[in-house]
Amino acid sequence: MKYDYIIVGGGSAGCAIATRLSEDPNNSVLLLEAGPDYPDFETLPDDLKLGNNVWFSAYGEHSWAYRGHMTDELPDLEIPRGKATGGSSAINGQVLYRGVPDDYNRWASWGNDEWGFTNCLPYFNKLETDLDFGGSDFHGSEGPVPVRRAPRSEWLPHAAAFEQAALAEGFEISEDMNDPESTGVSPRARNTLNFKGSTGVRMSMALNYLDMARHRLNFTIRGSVICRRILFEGNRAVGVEAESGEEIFTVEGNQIILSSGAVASPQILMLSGVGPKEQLEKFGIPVVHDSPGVGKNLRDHPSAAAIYQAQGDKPDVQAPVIQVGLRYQVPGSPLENDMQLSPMLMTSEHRPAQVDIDDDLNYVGMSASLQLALGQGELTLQANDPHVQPFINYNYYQEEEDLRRMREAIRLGVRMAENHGIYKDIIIERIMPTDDELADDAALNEWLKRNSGTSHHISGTCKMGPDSDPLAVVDQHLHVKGVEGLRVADASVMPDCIRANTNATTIMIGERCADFIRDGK
Amino acid sequence: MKYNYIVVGGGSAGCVMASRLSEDPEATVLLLEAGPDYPAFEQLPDDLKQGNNVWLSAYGPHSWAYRGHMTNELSDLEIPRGRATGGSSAINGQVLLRGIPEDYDRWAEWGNDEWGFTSCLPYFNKLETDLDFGGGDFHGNNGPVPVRRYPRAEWLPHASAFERACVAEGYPVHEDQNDPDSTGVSPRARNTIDGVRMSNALNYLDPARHRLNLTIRGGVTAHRVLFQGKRAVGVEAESGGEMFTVEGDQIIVCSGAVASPQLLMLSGVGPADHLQSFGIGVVHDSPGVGKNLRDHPSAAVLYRATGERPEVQAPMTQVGMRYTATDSPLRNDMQLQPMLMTSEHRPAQIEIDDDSNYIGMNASLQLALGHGELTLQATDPHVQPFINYNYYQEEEDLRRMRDGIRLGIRVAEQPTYQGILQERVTPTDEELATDEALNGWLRRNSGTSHHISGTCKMGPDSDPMTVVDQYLKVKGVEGLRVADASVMPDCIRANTNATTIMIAEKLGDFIKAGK
Repeated sequence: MKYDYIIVGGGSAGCAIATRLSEDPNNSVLLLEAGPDYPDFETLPDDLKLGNNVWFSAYGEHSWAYRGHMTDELPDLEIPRGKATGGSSAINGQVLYRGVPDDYNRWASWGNDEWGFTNCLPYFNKLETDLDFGGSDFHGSEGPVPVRRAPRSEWLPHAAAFEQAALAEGFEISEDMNDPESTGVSPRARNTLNFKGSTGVRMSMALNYLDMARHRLNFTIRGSVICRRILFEGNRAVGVEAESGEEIFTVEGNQIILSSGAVASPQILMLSGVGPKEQLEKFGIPVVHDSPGVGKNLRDHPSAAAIYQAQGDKPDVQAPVIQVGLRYQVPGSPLENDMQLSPMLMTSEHRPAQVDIDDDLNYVGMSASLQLALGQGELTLQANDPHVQPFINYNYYQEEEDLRRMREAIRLGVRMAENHGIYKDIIIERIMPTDDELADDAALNEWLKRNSGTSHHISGTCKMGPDSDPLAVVDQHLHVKGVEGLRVADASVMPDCIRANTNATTIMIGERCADFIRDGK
Repeated sequence: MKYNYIVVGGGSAGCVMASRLSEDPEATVLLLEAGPDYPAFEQLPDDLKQGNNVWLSAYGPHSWAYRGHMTNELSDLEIPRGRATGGSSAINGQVLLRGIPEDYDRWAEWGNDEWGFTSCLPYFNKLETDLDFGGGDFHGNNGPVPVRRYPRAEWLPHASAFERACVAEGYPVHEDQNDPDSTGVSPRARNTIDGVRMSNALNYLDPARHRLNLTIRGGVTAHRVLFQGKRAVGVEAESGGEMFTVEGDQIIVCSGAVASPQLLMLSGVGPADHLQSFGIGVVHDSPGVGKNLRDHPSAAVLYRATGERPEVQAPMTQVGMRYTATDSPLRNDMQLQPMLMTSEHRPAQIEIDDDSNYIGMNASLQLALGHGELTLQATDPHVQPFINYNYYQEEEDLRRMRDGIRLGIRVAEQPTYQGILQERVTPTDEELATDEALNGWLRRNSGTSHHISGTCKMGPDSDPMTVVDQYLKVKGVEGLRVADASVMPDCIRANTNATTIMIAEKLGDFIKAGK
């Protein structure tokens, strides 16, 4: 049997593409997801369902738990990526945040004229129902993804203090973080809802997209299926070799769309013979097309947090981690909104992998996240085996400008916490960085190299671009270059990272891919 | 998209078809089930999972809860049929009993030479793993369906008393009720493992679910089979309140003895005048569709029992007797079995509205001479057909049931039941006093054994009432088969599940052999 479309990967983009393509009952669509699928909300496991404690989900049982190399000073770090229908949108922090217009206009300026901000905006609107600002020029009111901001009456004291401290530092308040002109401190736009009797539900793309399409008989969703490789006849992709229940199957498709995320999409391309020739040959993989950019251009948001011991008992395990955030332009940087600073609960139950907390005390963090790093990493195969993760080298802080901006942000976070008296009833003392580390750029650089993790926004590893760029893997309609019948659509196609959490943009890419296909582009 | 096979109905037969056909990775198979599918055993609802109390399941949330006309005196009884993957095997009593050799030999004699007992036996063996007798000539030891008998040590006191009483009445004990020569009292062969009902969803679908060439869709109601001319080309089906069309090279209807003839008729295959009266375009005039409705009438003598009523999951069926009614030429044409009877353990035709403890002696006529029929009531697939069981039109059927009820009373009055049974509640001495009075009681108090069958019977072209040929191809059209209890030319002298599974196993091989 031959499907019209096979989508490999049921993450944020895959859910959107599969749902949109199956709207036409004449299209037969197969969605393959390596992790489990949970068709009934009632049986959705808590780590996927409950959204307020992102760490509980990110380091839970539905993560690939990759290992990543951040810097030479930091041992391998666990990298969460979602492994269930919904993908990383099923284990993420639910910040539904758009990049700034300049992000997309830069993509367009690099030869991707379909992707300027004004071309992307209708899709950002299409994908959402903004419960606060829906129906305006800049917001959708009938899309699949619900978005809201926690009202200030629900904010935890440290979140309210953060807003006050940001004002004291001279930043402005922007109520709608997704307004194209927005900058400053804002309530976080999140796809978190009270839903079907549960509070704080992470509205993953499995819930938002798949659940409205599951009944379609032209749409087949298969969980727990590992794609081993794309099958080619000559240069034409004709199917997928996949593992299910420990058996190997072949499924045929007229068009294959790889939406496996910025780690697995380049990995599968390489295992299928599309990638840097010398790397493929090293693992004995026959080369279908020499594409030197596959796995290169690894982008992400380095992040690090100043940690304070806090007053009072540690909060409930499902206390909301993310309610407010600041986006701003680092002094001396030419890049608008290139930094985010967020207050975060920090306890043994609320912490990213690079922060060690092994007691029951209460802490808060001031987390800086560099939104547009100049440096980049790369991802390379470690084995010709889909079960062996590629080597993920984030390669942070090769650029002094990246270190400089992070130093600025950490010092801003410390000023906000310590200089205005606003946090006096909230924090007790700073744990790190120490005064010595803060005082000296070289010392603070070392602290950053030892204490930075990822914001979980890996992207760029199959970047789109014109043929004049030999490292572009897909064209601007997301066709994999050098072969037929194969596209990539997920965060890997971003030419550079965007200055925002990546989920909204990844969904937008999925929505656009579906329309490109529908329009025969 | 076009599947090679579309199987309509995920019951005992449909699960087998989907599983066997998808063994070939080149074959693409779509299984449609109207009820829900539960892929994870951990999430299987208790009414499907727990097998000992059949009634909780049969009258639970996964039944079609059809209404059936039994007799003029009992005209509207709830009829359980399974509505979930596994079908009625997901809500049944788990008795895995084969018919006797004569049942299948009669089918063969009527022009279905593929279906004699010796042709069916390999498939009975193939389908099972008999944990007590596996590996002999008559039993399988590596099939999907696990079978065991309760060891006597686990029998409830009334079950032990039944065995001793039957022996006292002169009947033999036979340890293996599925032996071709078996007759008399036996431990029940059941597909129950540690109290779990091993439905065909568990036995057949679960080992095949991972196959990417098999698509299992629950919550999908078939509205009709679509034809191009006389060729079946697909199915129009409802899913999530929307209508879809799925295409298939071959369509296999496994919707059971109620819904298979209903779906055929809604699709234009059935009695022409009947279809026309509902404005359904006739694809093929097949007068036998819905006719020849067979079942096992059953009725129980009810006794008040000593002691507290048993717990809700006490095993309903542990022992049973097959025997030949007095003066009947049909071997093993009756079953008698003791049954727990409480407000939580009872068939629909028995009313118990107190918390007292009762026991029934249940007689079930295994080869009735009479038959009923099933007719459309509407063109809407959501409206059930009229199910007329039409019991007791034949005096011989009444006679054998009277004989069975009276035998039940003799068994119950054996000394082995002292301390277990108290007074008889029904039938009364008056009702027992004359044949006519007992006939009246039977007509008011008989229900179904849940073995509806025969409504799309197989047979040679010389029989105008046959709906499918012996390879189960629907006559008069192309690309369409029926495989389930509806194709049985007559009921078998046994609970129907094992034979239904066997029918599907045979069809799997017919298809593989190009028959």
